[in-house]
Amino acid sequence: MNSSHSLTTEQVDAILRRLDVASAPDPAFVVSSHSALASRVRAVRARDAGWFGRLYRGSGLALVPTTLNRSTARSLRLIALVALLVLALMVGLVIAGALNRPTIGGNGVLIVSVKGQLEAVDPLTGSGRSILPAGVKAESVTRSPDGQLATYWVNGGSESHLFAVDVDGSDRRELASGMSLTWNSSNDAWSSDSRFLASEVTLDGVARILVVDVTSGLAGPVTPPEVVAHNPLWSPDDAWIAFTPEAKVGRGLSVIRADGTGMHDIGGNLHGLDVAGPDTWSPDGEWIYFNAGDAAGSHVFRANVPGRFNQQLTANGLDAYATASSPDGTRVAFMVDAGYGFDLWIANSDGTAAHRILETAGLGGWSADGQFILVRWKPPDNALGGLGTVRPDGTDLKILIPYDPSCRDRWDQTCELGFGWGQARP
Amino acid sequence: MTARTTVGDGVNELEAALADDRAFESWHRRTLPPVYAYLLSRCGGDVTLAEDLTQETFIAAIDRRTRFDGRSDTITWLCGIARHKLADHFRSLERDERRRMRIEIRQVEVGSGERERIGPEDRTLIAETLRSLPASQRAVLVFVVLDDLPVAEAARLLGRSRGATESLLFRARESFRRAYAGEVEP
Repeated sequence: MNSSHSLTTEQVDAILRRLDVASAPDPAFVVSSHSALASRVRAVRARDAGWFGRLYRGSGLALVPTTLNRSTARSLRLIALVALLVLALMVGLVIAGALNRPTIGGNGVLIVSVKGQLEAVDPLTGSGRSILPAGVKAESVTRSPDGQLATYWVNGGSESHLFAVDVDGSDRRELASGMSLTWNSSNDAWSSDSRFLASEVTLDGVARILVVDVTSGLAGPVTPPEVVAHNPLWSPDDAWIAFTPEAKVGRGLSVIRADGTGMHDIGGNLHGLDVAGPDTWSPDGEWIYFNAGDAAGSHVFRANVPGRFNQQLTANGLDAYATASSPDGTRVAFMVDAGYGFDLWIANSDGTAAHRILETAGLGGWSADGQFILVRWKPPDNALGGLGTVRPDGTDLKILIPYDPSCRDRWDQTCELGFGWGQARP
Repeated sequence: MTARTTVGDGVNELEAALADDRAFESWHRRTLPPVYAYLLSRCGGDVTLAEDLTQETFIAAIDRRTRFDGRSDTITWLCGIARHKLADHFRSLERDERRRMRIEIRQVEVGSGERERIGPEDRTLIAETLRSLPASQRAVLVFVVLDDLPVAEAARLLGRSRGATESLLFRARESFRRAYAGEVEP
């Protein structure tokens, strides 16, 4: 018997405590840690300097004032609490008043670029209003999950410029200004708290994932310069960004923390198929839906994020693309190449009960309440279709933005240059 | 004369650090090494993991800056956040282990020789032994033995009852003892 097996509890503990020694971090880590945190601190500083930051800190709720004794501090807290309760009551009354007015639906406005003109469209009636001055050609449009902001790219010459504007057309400002970059035609992705936008851009000749703080306008790449990165997608908890790394051997599926650390592959073995890009993340954070394929066709998969393995969801006979998980995570919509164009299909989140719900329709993602799917619909008789909504059971198709005959030469016969409804979309 | 820390000193220090780029750099350079050292020793010497958790700790500290009441110095506060990050990490590991249905105690390759004569050069072996344990056992040893926390406090961090944590601690010490001796787990 080895003598160490007879170690007493105290001896075991003493051995373990030998681990507790000082050790210096790698200087390179100290530098990278600081540079990643510095921008965060600046954003925090900017936020704290705002009216809410001043109110919060001034209320005495945030910090115990150092010059006051405890009873005074407690009284201050009580006064601040009462003031906040009164404020909350007033806000409640304002919200109640707003709820009594006619609304545009719980999913908020749909932001669409039609021939470059940015419009806020009521998804119930299809009526829209322009929210940008004429002459601005807006592309790759998004809308924040909270429904308050729209973003768009303006591409000109060798550079692209990213802008944010309130959905009522006010407070237009440039984001990531001063950076020399080009937008890479991928969908931009919002964090669920509507604070950050992730975008695929080319910086110094390399496709990278850029994260933009829409409050401060500050931006920085999160993927390292040696990784060619495409198609960003935020995790539901806003801690991670999924993306497609491109290497000589193909395209995979990886995640990286929003501060640029912890990058690792999660796609599992795809047997040589190339990942098109992460499309949507299940609300519980467990799964990422995507399609991967080769010259023979494409299949819909989901990757288990913690387990780092994948499951093929569509049958081999289907040529399936572009997936979108429903907001409650129970269903997944995707497109199937039917030869004459794409059909819209739906299945349970594990791929079972897959069936077609609409012919000749492209997938534009789900509404926030899961009641509608946004579609680019082209009728089989080659008549003009449009951008519209359909129920997940394939009923109640409604065209919101009819296509313009002058745009028939475009592949999808639409004058629309991007849209956003606050949800991730393929 | 010993410098006396009063309630609020740490708050002022943190506010000053966040108010200015240079002050933040100086504060970061001063506070990062002890937090990193704390985590490295508890991660079984895994440098990458210690760096990741250190970074997560500082991000959380910046985000939760208003919750710091200054009753401890900032390094103690940061290490408290780091401890929670570590607990999250151990819980995540434990979930993975359960999912894979292969909780096992790996045998650590050790040479023959008397373990009683352990010197500082054997820290790698101790770290490897600790790393070989299931996440839950590693966590309870880190919090109770290395951090010297009461079992009740460790139980709260691990999301277990006090009784379950005491039982876990017993099994963890036993596992460490066996793994350190290089015995094959039955």
